[in-house]
Amino acid sequence: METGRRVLLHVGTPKTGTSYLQDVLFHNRESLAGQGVHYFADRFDAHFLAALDLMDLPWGGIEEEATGAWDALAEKVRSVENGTVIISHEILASASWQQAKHALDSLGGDSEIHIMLSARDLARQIPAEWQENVKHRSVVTYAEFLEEIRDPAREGRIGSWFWGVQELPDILDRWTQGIAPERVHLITVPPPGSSSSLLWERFSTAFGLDDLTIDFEGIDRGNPSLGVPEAALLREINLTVVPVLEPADYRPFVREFLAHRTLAKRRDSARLALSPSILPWVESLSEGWVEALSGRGYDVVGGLEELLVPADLAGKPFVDPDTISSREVLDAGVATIDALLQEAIRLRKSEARLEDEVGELRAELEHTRSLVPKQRAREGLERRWWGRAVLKAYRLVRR
Amino acid sequence: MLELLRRLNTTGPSEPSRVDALLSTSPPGRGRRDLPLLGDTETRTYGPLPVDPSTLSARELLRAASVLLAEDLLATVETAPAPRPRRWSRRPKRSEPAQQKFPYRLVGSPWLTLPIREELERRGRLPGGDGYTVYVLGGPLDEVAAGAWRFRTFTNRVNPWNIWIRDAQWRGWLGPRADLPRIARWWAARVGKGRVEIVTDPALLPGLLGVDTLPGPWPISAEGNEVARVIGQVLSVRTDLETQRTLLMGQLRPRLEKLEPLVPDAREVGVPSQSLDWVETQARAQRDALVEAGYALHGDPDRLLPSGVATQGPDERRALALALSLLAGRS
Repeated sequence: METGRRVLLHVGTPKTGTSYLQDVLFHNRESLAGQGVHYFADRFDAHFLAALDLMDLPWGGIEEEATGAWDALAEKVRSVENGTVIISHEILASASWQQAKHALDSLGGDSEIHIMLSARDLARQIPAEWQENVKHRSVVTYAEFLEEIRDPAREGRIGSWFWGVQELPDILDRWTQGIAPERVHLITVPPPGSSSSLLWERFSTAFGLDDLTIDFEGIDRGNPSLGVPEAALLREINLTVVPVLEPADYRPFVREFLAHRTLAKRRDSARLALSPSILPWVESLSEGWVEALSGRGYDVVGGLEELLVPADLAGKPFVDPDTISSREVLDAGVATIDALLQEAIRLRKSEARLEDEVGELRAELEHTRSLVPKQRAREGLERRWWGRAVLKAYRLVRR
Repeated sequence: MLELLRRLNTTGPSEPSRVDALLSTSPPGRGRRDLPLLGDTETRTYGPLPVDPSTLSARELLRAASVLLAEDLLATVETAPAPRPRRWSRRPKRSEPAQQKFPYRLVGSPWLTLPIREELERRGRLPGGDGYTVYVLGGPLDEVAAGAWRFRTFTNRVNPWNIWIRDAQWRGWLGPRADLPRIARWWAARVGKGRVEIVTDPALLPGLLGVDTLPGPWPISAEGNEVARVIGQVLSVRTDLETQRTLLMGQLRPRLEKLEPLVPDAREVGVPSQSLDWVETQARAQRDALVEAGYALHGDPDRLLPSGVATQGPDERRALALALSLLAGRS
């Protein structure tokens, strides 16, 4: 029998605004809890760690922090008697049927569980996933990536992961084990050119956040895409740095600083699109998915037709990152050098400031040390009756 | 998982609880899962293609087996009785005469040195002592490099051998455990060059250490390492690194040692032909660096050049056979 606990389990997909949603929930978790919506996370990537734990998924060393994270999260969920709990991470999309079963069982048989899946058309997802690969140390070319995902056997690392997190009907088959269709919510990402707030409005509606007080200040829109020359440059950088940079260094310096904070800021370059050679295949695939999903009775927030390849895509210019001119990549490279120089100057100033602070602290420490013998002598005297008398006499003389 | 169970059934009957445990797991990490069965009447227009389970690769089945094998090891943590606290501290052992006469530190690739160090310590020959000599145990660099990978399969998370050696070549370095000049330099800076000696022939070690015999490497095949590696991938998420090492070294290794003779056609880990020239160049550079640095040498320095004894990585079918034997509880 169900209690008053409602669990909204957001299981994907990547590149559908999930980071923004998670940022909003994390930054507002205390005020939301006061309004009956719980987002249990003591760190911004808490649900990512839980997902790694659930799926026995090593992830560049981060998995060492994930041990027991899913069960701990599930325990917190079960402790809620009344209210809504949200769990959200896009890599949950790749969970197997058994892992999804374990997850659903662990959330309590008395919970009202809703499966939330945000989705975007494949014409945007395919290029975005290649970019994500490149932002995660990969040196795979766009052509190689497309070949891997078109392998019907899906035996490769790229293909098995891509379909695991992107094949909407299959993801829902794995996650909706016995869950009523009206409790399955498919949120579609609006087509290009839509209002920038529309996706959030859909999330807000689906997650029941419309009437709640939420503070959006300081929340990054998150994870912007790269242009074609920028992505090509990043791949070239990977060829050089991946063998020598540890994942723990790659994340802050290459992915965060170079990709997100430098290259993604260049908005005038060509955006990566679907290769025209695979357009008919993607169109047919998308139509098949929409057909498979349309009769299931899910709550669709947005529209299933938004998952089809946009009709105006054919004929649009396509810039291939594998054959882009060196001149364009060079421009992105110069901009990167500029940003690195600025950063080096900032760090040098910061280093000089810290050196000054260290100097000041050293001087203070020396001064404090000079006081220590005097203080020890006083404390020693205060412990003895005759010492106290000597101190009294000393103070009288000083007066 | 069904195909894995079928293969397990060919080795003998399994307890129903064991079958349930196996069927409630999923292959971990990245890779294909939930593959539909060829001939299943339920047809879908999406999802992975149906497969004939008998065509699944040994690699995929080994990955599928790794979860239950990891859970078996983790179960030993919970059931192992905690050591009884000692009431009185152990009286420090009086050092043996040999200890005083042959004070030593044995360093180099841990896969090669650890079995010897463990045996020496078991005999009461602890490392250190007044004016100890540091023996850097070397060997053919292809075997030393393989040893570096093999050690990691039992102590950390590591890529498959072919990717590990490819990445090492890409990086231009075999890593700290296969860089003998670096190890020697580090110790020379600590104790002085005169106390660092290079041993290229392990047969000379007993004489240097004042013992009659010393053990060879652990009797673990390339496939045993591969089994440890895939289980380590699961353990890296399920437990902390210290426990992972304890379970793999302390629990799995002895079980594998017992199983190895029962499964024929064991392989050694060898550098594949496409990387051998590069390893040879590295080995010559290491040999020259050690000779030029002027360390005392025991054995022919050319023994540091690749032996080429093995040129392959683990055989995945044999690794699966070992994994099935472990699942069946044969050790």
